[in-house]
Amino acid sequence: MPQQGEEESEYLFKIVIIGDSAVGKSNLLNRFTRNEFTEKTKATIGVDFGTKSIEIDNKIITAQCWDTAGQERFRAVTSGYYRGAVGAMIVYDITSKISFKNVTRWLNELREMAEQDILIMMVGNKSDLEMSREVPTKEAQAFAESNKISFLETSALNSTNVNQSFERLLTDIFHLVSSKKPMVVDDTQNWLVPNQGKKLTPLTDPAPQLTANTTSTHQEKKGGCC
Amino acid sequence: MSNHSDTNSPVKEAFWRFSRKSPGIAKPVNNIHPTRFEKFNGNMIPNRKKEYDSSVIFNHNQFSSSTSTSPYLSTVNSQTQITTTNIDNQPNTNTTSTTTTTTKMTTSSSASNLNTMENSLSHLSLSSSSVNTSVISHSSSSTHLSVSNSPNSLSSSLNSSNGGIDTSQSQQQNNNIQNINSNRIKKFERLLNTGIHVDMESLKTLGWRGIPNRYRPMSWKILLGYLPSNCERRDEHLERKRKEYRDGLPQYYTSDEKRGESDRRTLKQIQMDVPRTNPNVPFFQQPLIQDILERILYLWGIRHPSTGYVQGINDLATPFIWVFLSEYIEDVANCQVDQIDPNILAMVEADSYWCLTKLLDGIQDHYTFAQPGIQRMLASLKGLLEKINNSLCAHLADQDAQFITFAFRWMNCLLMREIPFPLVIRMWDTYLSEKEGFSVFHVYVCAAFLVLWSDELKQRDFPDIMIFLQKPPTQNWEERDIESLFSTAFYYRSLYEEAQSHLKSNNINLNNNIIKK
Repeated sequence: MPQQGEEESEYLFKIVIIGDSAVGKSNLLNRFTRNEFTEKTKATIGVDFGTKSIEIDNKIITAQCWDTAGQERFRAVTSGYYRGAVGAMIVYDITSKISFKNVTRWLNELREMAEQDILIMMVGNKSDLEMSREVPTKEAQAFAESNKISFLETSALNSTNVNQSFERLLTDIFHLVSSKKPMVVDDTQNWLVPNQGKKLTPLTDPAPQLTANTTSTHQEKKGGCC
Repeated sequence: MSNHSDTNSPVKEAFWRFSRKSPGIAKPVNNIHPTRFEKFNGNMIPNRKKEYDSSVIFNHNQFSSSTSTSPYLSTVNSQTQITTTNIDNQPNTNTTSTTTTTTKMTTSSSASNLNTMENSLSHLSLSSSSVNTSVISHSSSSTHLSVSNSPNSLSSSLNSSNGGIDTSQSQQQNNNIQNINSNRIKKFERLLNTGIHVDMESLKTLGWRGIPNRYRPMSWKILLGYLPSNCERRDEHLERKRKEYRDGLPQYYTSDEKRGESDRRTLKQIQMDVPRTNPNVPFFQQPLIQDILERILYLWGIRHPSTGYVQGINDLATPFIWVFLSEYIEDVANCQVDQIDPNILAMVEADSYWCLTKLLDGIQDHYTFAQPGIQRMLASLKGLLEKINNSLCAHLADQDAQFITFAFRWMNCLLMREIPFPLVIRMWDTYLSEKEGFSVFHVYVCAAFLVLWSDELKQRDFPDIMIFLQKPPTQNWEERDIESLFSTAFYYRSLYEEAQSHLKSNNINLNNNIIKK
């Protein structure tokens, strides 16, 4: 059922934003969804949330972004946040070599916890701090290519590439989805990939409208909810 | 639990208004946001036998009688009239009056009975067999509710009528409030500064309703067990603990080469978090305060390797620094820290460290691997909400809004992210006066907090629920809102404590389930 205010939205993609602590995940989210930037953002605990709709190929795509906590201690508890995510943005800080090194750990985490075909975008944030750069663009570029993931450098502070990076990720997801045939788009906006029997996107109100097959998957995953 | 069809029943409404606003639990919180309470009418009253409900009323009434000297009568506006007599042997507080257009409550009792009640306050229990409900009656124009407790011969009545506001009482009310406040201060003075031993139970009973600023530093230290209740040993004890803290500091000042990899990581994480701790409170942006916070967190982190520093603990340290500095500086919010005597700052730092340690000792499993304490609380919160407001619970489930998604932070940071900082300090008065305030009572507070927004949440779908709960409209909250919240939480606990008791234990299966998710 179309949700209020989202009548025109045809696709809903859940994206998780992950990466080390203090690399600027929350500010990327805020810049993208609300065009805001706060110099001192409180450390995210659990998850922060934001949505934004954009148009790709004349379709309205709504991105549902889950901005996660960076500290390792939270991963055991919050790994459930990956459920149903079709895209992931791994963020590092170009002024922090260690945050770039840890991208590998985040990639592993995704492989372990997220859907297999999740699309990944790597983002080197804080590109406005060129003077303190520790991660050369070329190195990151090479890393992204070898891991077959998209890459952009962004600045949530001055907006450089923020929208572009989200748009690129969403476009990639959209194209992946469009290329999967046959694709079912039911009138409730739930789109499914029948040959895999699983729902790729978590919709705002998934349970009631899903096919039996999907519902069972959904419920199975839902079991043991807190 | 079914939806309550009798939402509009005058009895139920009158009952609810009474129990919620009763000075007993919440301390007379009068409603500056009338609509906020109206919406509770349908959802909050559990579908129980009337007798049972009224026994709750009665208990609250007991509580209210015994606590009539609460300074929070100041929160009562001129719309409510509560006349309470013969309380606590305090001549100045024998009569307290406020007015309401709809409710007039009269409570009278013998002082001896009330003293007994005060003593048994912490044991308020619904199962109390000594409580009998004798009469519940109502008519369309007025509600008269009378409850009597035969053993104690105490009777209370609640009258709902269309009485007008008595403006002449306003002045008297102000006077009473002043008297009550000064009495309250006297009580703390008497409790803390006379005799050699502080009675902990009395301190908890008094502290539950809020601690006057000037007694807060000492009260917190005693309540946490940092300061001995026996005042003869206090100075010596403080000196020793402060020295012990100072002696530990070289671990902090060691060179990076000498630090292990894990300690280096800890320090780095803390250095990232300290500048963005309470960013909206200028006091915490002062470099000296940030240095203090950094040292406290680092020392705590490396001395508790099984937990380590976890984000959110930085928030928990801040009330201590603020409150303990207030022992020496009157206006902490606007003080220039670099002009304060370094010895004072050193004492504040050491005390804050030890009190943070005491606090975290009680909730350490909130921050150990997989955070089992928090998961237990989340499970507990969910179980509670099912009983309190099943339709809200169902709506959240329907929208796939999981508790771990929206309430994890509530547990990890003890609602410090949701409540303005000065009110957090007030909250801690109560939490510290509770036996397990930060773990058990907090869950009831979270339930009350969630139910508070029930109407808003039920109209929202998943993304909007998340966005709403990320920044609930508490920016303009005042102390009375916190007290109202505690009132509801107290009420929930009195109803559901037994049912929730199984969740207090370390239920590993439960935790595992959540982790698997």
